[in-house]
Amino acid sequence: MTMAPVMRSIVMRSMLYMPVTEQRFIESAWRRGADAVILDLEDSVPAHRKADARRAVREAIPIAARGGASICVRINSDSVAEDLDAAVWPGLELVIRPKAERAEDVAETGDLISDLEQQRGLPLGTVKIWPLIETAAGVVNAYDIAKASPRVTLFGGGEGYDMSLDLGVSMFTGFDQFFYSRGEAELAGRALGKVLANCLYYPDESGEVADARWAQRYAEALRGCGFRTATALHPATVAALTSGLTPSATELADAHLVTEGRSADAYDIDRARDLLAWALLCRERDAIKDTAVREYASSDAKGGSQ
Amino acid sequence: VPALSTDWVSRARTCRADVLVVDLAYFCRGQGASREAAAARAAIAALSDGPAELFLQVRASSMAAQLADSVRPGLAGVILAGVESAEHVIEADELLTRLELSNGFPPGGLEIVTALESAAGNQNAESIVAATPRTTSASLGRADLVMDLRPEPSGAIHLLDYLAQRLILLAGALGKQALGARWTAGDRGLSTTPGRALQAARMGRTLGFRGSLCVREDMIAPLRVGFTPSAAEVAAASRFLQEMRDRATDECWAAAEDSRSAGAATRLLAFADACAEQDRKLGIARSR
Repeated sequence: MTMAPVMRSIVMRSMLYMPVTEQRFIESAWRRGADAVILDLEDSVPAHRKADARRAVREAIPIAARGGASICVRINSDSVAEDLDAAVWPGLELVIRPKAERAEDVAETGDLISDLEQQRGLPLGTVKIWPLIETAAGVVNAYDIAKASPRVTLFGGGEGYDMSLDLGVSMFTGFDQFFYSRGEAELAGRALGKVLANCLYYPDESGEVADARWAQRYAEALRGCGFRTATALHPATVAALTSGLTPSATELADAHLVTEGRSADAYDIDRARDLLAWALLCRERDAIKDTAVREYASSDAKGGSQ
Repeated sequence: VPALSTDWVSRARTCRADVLVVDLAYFCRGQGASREAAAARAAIAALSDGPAELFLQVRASSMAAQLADSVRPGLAGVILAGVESAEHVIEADELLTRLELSNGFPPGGLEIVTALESAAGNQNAESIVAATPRTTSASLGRADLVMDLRPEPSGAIHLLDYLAQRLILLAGALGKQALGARWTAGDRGLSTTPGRALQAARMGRTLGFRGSLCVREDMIAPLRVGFTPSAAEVAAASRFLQEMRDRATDECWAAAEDSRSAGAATRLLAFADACAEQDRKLGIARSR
């Protein structure tokens, strides 16, 4: 049996978290324009609704994908097997494994996914893993965690709410209290050639999750540093993240000049080529989403008029 | 000092850098191994009788070919650019041992400086720096270019402060010296203005670096000044130690806390003396 290729789309400029228990959120996901929708079983689902959440995932996957978004599921670290059993169905591209602390956490997650892929007729390796580094133990073992499974495609962390809880420090301080832990996770991801996520500090003293202007600035800072992925906790920030992480017309024009060899060194040429390839992928992704949204809107209108 | 640039080589004799690095890693690529080796030998011969220590910079991935015909008397050591694993360093160590034997050099005399420029190199920093006693120092080299680290809105170069801190800690733990400066946005590829170089060196020294590589002549003086304890620091340390001596009979001053402070002051003065001695060797008038 051969491993499936990498994710259908590596363009995940905006990854929107949604509590899978909120049916109206799931129903409207296709209108949000996100490159990826993260069906959340973890923090946004209260403990007494975890079982409901698991029951809802399978049906939610095709619904949330109507707008052309990639579908991801964030599972719980204390109910990995049950959550994966609920989530690994056709249409799922990525499992977000929170609070990864040891290589074994990721290896076990990968093994469980392999079993489910086989049982459910999915090509082996279809579902990728993003292990979240959110504790001191995870930071110390970051390299081993990132290396634990070939399914790990996204990597980064060492910051965020859970990290601040684990370290007993404040979250919104106005300075970069996680610079070393985030660096450890990023270095591991870079050394292993992973797509990097959650790797940039950007000042945020309010913690306002629906602030589109902040999201735009953050996305532009990410793009400026060469990153391509961001998560959103509120739909209001999706458009800002998507546009902020898409190369601008000026950048594209500059990149074309560089690749034509006008006064550039090898580093500039590599960077320009990479940017042009990324811009192409972004355009493809946007076209896929546009088509999916048009088709679903059209079929929805026909269904509604019948 | 690009080995193939005869102009640079001739100017290097009087540029007053503490260390001259004859480069075969970055500025001479694709010129052909024999031409590069011949140029390196000529550069080493031209610079070996000067006051600066002389190093040869080679790529870890092609060091065998680059070192074999280039190691000559007068060379203090080798900078391995782009080293990614301890095996690279062990290979270099064995190669240098053979070259020392065949050239009649004292065994183990040639130093190794590791330039950890890639993510893999930095990830494996501990085993790389510890791989051989020949390794005296480690730097991040041109990590900003190799890892494509770009400016953050704050003006910092992304990830560089973390990498610097990590290198300083590892090097310190292994008894080696960390080389570098606190480069910020605009200091691309170790190349910047004299003013920015001075600032980078001053901040680098406060982080724990003792010196830095550079690629332009006009950066040498700012780096030297930035890494040398200032007159005010030397005066303060001297004053503090004098007060200690004046109060030597007072038991309070024998407390551990003050011993630590005295140690810091003593180390600063020793480093300042070493800098002054180096300046004398290089013929630099002390203006402080």
